[in-house]
Amino acid sequence: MRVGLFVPCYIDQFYPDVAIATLELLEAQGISPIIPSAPTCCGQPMANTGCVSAAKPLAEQFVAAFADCDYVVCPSGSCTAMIRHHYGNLVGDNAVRERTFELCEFFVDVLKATPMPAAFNYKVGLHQSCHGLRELGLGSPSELRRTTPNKVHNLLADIPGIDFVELSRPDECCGFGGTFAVAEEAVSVMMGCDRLDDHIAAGAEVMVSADMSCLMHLDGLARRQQCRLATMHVAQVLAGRQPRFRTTQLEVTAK
Amino acid sequence: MNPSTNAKAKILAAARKNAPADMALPDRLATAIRYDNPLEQFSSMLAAIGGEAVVVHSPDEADRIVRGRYDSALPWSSFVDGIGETNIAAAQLHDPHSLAGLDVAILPGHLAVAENGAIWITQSDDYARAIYFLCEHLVLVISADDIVHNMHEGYDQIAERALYPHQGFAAWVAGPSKTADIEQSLVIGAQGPRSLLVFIVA
Amino acid sequence: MNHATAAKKFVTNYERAHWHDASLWFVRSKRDKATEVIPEWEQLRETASQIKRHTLAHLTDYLEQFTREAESRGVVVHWAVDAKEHNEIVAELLAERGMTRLVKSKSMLTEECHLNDFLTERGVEVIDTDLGERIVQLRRETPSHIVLPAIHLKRQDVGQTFHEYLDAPPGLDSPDELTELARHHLREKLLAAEAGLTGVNFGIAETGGIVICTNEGNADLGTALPKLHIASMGIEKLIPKTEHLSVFLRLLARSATGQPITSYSSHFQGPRPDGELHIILVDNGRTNLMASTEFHRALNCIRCGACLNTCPVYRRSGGHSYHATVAGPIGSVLGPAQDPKQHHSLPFACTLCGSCTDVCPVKIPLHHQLLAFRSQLAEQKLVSAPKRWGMSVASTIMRRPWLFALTGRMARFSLRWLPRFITHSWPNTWAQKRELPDAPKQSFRGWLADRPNDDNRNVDNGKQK
Repeated sequence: MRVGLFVPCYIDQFYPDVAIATLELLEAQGISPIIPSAPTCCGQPMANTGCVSAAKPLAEQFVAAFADCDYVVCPSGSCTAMIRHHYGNLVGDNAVRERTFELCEFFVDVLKATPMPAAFNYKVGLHQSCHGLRELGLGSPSELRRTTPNKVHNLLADIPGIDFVELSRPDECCGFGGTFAVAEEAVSVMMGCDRLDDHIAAGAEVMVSADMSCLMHLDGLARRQQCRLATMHVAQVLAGRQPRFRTTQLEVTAK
Repeated sequence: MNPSTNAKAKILAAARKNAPADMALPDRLATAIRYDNPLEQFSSMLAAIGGEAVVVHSPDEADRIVRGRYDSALPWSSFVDGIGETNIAAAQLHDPHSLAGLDVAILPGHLAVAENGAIWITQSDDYARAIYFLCEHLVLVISADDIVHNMHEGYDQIAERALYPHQGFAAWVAGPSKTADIEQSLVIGAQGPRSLLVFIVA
Repeated sequence: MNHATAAKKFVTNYERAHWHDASLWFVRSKRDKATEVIPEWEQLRETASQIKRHTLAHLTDYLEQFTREAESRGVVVHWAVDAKEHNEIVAELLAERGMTRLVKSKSMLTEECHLNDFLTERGVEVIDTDLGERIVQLRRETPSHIVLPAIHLKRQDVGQTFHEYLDAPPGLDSPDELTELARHHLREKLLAAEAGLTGVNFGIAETGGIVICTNEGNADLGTALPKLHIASMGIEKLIPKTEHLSVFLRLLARSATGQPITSYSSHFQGPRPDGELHIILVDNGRTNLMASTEFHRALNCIRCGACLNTCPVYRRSGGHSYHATVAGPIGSVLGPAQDPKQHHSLPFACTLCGSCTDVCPVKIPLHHQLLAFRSQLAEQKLVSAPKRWGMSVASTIMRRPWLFALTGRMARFSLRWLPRFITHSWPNTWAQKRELPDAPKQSFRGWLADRPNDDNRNVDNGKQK
């Protein structure tokens, strides 16, 4: 099968290891994806600000670049949700959209494979990003009375040594929300700190998520407060990376 | 009258012009919750919402309970034979304002719903509807045979038995009056009755 | 009138903001528990959604049926194109009868119409009888939540208000005692009232009847005592048949407060034999909203408040930050629909988390509507010019891989080499409370370019460094 890898803009520039880990995972399955130099961005920041005309050319680039692929894989729930659910307004019905998968979905639903790293002997708090959870159905939202298997959790569950902590609010939004993080900074920060407090109170050492955008915000807060909680993308955990901790352990508050 | 007639025409025309895409009325829900023991479920739901259900086998039994619990020296009114008494003037029953001091009202319920502890009452010719809300303690009497599992069955019964609003009024009464408007702290007894006692005649 | 500014102020009192968030999350948890015991919950939501959508598509017919049935039972049906007409009808009904003492149960529609002020200016004493509404009325505030009007207040605040206005002893703060005091105060007012005004939860087209749901019994007292009952009803409150109430009454209280049903679900069909029932059907922008393909489903709302309770932004900013009659997710659609200029910040007071859509008992696609509103507002230039321009620039850069790579490299370089006091200075809002990400030396594509055996990479468009 012909697989394309879409690397979101901020991962390309600021979190390249997440893309490297994703590539390693695919190659370990015998997949050699094409990685076109464009598109660089799915257009979500523009679309979410209401600037549809700014998003459209990026969507067009996306469908053109991956037109020949059987699947497109993307290590980001929010970008994948943009492509699958919102590209309709920008490029109309398009097969490429339907064939775009977030990384965990791709492994669970398409490859039906579970990468198994050697060990991850840490207490893990799973941060369920809203787009992944509610738009892509990566798990069961706590407010819905419907059980959907939790794809991210299930991919990680059998890793030797991994220990999931129980959060008091398993799927509350982290407060990133794209430009919201800056435009409504006060509420965004409070939401993020509340997430961190929840993970810390539950005993998490590492926060894992399928969305690096959430982690960029949460990690930014954690590092400012010199909090020991480490953050990792699910691709990195599955690829066998280990967390790096800051030395100080302090409580997080939003003050 | 005239401005309103113009408004009516305007609104109806706009609603017709702007009607969104059609959608068919859905079928009735295929399944709705049922319980192994509806009576027990009704009683526990009623307790959860601040009321109390007592199973009795005769009016005497219920009568003894109310007289033991409430003070019949205070104003009472009963419309269930053999349970309690009416010690206020007949004229008061039709004058809502004069029911203000009523302590106990004992009234019949037509049917009850297990899923939520609600009882269906309809207005009667014998008393003003204010009686349900001005009394301090409301006592409703239902038959165990009239307990249904869920609200769908409830409305089926209302239709079947023609238990429609009478004199303009009917209601589901579920527990005593309550509020949590102050800091989400539940207070039983808001503006209506402070308690609801339900006799289930089996 | 910007949500972000008001929200920032709210969050500044961190302890209070946290308390507000916890109170509302508690209500959301109660809702979850109440829905867990109904196996058919999701089917109920779907059924309710379809009933409401069907009704809206045939609203004219149902409105005509409702009116015929109601009038045949002796109800007087009035029609009001807008808030002003509604208020004038109420005022005239009272003036015609020489009435000046009105009691009112909860009605967001009357909040929308600013009825209280209108009547007060005309010499009518208006007493809100819902406890939460009475509290905010005494404080000259607006309700901060459509179901829990005083959720933003602590017991001490209520105690203070009752001390000031109801002769409560100073320092009284137990909810039980405060409620008892209010009971006596409101009972007095209810007994003295000449007219009672209520909202309408559901209007039944088949019978011309209306249903009002309360826990306190105040709407019932307000209509069982005074002889004149005025019911203000938004035209979208209709449902076709009595039997449909089984669906909505199972959904409403569970969604709103986690109760299986409210204490009273009162069905009014025709006036009291010794009284009058007037129903005022109000448009006030609703027929306009019907015309919108994108947003008309917001009219399916049954005003349960579940979306407010689940919204992480509402919980941490409070209803007053929205400066709209209705706050939270549904308010952030209804507000801009009515007045985009005034409420342009509301669709952005949202992270698009989608929880609101999931809890809505009638399945309004709220977070999709909020996103759709953003493009409408951008088109109407109600999104700030710098924002729009910034996105245009970003798009230009993103479209050109070489420019994207160059810009990215420059950004990473600056972040690594510029002193912190520059990179984290005040124009950088992100950096107020957050660290910027570490800047890697190489982008992913840079790393990729250096990798041997690169035959599958960087195909088609553009050289990549």
